[in-house]
Amino acid sequence: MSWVLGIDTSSVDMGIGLFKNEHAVASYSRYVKNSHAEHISQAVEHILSVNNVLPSDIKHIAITCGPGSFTGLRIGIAFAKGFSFANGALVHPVSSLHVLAHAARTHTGSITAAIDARNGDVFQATFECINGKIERRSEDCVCSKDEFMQSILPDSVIVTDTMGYAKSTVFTSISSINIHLPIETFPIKRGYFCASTGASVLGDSSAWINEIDLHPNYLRSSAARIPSPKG
Amino acid sequence: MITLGIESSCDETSIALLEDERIIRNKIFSQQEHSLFGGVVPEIASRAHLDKIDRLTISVLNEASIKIGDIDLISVTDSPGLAGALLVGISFALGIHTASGIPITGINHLEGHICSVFFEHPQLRYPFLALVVSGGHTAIYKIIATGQYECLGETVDDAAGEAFDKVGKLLGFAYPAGRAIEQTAASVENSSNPISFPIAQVSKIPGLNFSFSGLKTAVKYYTSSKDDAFILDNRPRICAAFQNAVIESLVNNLWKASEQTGISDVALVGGVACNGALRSALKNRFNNRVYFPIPSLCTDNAAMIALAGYYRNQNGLSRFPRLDPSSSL
Ligand SMILES: Nc1ncnc2c1ncn2[C@@H]1O[C@H](COP(=O)(O)OP(=O)(O)O)[C@@H](O)[C@H]1O
Repeated sequence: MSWVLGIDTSSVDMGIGLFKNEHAVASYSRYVKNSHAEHISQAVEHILSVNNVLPSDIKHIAITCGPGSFTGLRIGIAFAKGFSFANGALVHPVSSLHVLAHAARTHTGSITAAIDARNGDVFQATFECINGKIERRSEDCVCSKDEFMQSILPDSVIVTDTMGYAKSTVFTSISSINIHLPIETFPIKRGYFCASTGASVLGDSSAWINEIDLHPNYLRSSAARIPSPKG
Repeated sequence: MITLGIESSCDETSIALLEDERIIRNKIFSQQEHSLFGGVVPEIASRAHLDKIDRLTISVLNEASIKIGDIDLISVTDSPGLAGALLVGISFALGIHTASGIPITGINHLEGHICSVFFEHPQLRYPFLALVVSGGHTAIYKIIATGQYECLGETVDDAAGEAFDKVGKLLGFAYPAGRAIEQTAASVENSSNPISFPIAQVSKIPGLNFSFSGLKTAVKYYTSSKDDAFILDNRPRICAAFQNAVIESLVNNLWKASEQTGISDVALVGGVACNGALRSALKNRFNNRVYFPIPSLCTDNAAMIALAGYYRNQNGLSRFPRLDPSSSL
């Protein structure tokens, strides 16, 4: 029997999920900005203890590695690194765009998942949903709002996340021919889908890595955050 | 008792192991990326911490032949500092804590600096005064007992180390410039014609406060009125004048603090405590009742964080880590 712990701290809502083999056991979400580090430890302890799972039983962690909030990603990844370092768990990196695509899992066909990357840019990837299973069609990338708009297929369902950015405008011109699912109004259980993604590859040892090889996928250099030199 | 110390508040990633108060290992990885920018870039720092923290921890434990199960306490810096940088250390520490059940305590970085004096001077007794002078902080504390502090004064603008770094930039030194300024000042050949820079009096707010931004501006005016060749020739004199002004203001306020409180034992901690001229000035003034850590323990390191955690634990003062980037002691 294998437990899979799912952790997603890439956006405003923190998600923790727990699977036992391929079966969902529990999911926890918390929608509060800038407070993941304060709650991640209690959230994991809580989800484990109410399900009578010991931390030492967790040998598989599925964790969102990006793209998303730089600080948010680091909180989840640093936590997963510490956890795995202490108990030898293996980790499975999950794309936050892949997690987002699950919002459209009841549809059949093309799904575009997109995150507001600020400065008029978008993180995006395309997927296809076949019988409730989400398959990837393009790699995670960062592009301008215009490139994003042009890449949208007419029959695609679009799942978007503004990452709590109230003034976000990159998704306002998505046309009415597309089904648009803004994550703010169609919330998903991020931790649950993270864990389920991990659970689906439990048998594939190549999908699991040591914590030391776990790295955030920022999709952006830190130069984006470097202030212009002052005198 | 084995304590694991974790420090990531600024641009040093550091992991340490203590057995009681003795350092088993204290590894410090200083990020070099920032020197290009003349100061620490938060996003670069946070990324570099995450890249290093696990490898550093593994190598420290391996070198010490200590296993996770041998650790009795995790002690992690949770304030003050760069939020994104602190969060890497805090989250990593919480991950270890959650997986292993090892007790954890959050530590104020300044409390760590103050405790660093006990490695060399375990005989130092409370109460004593501590002058904390680093790149981010300049303050005088009355240390009453473990975890009990009273701030007697602090800088109202730049920290002393920051002043060293800014003036260093004006004079063409690489960041951080503290050491280079000290060495250059020491090479003054002829002290008969010294430059003098003003020492700011901070009297608007009560307390033994400091101000260094005016001093920096004075150096700026001075250098901008001279040509490059003159500045290059006179760098030793400028460095000496600047350093003397900083030292005088630090020593004077600390002296006043000692008079006000009647406490004559003084600890000098933080990165600027490496400065030899400051050390001897304090020794002279305080009749050798001055205590400092060895230079390698003056700058940011995890051993001091582990020691502060050990003391808190021994006194029942452990507390769960909570991020508070702008807090003081
Ligand atoms: N010999 C020295 N003389 C003066 N300042 C120094 C000396 N050595 C280091 N510093 C200063 O100490 C600071 C770094 O100290 P540290 O305790 O690591 O500070 P922080 O964590 O606040 O950045 C830098 O500003 C550096 O210029």
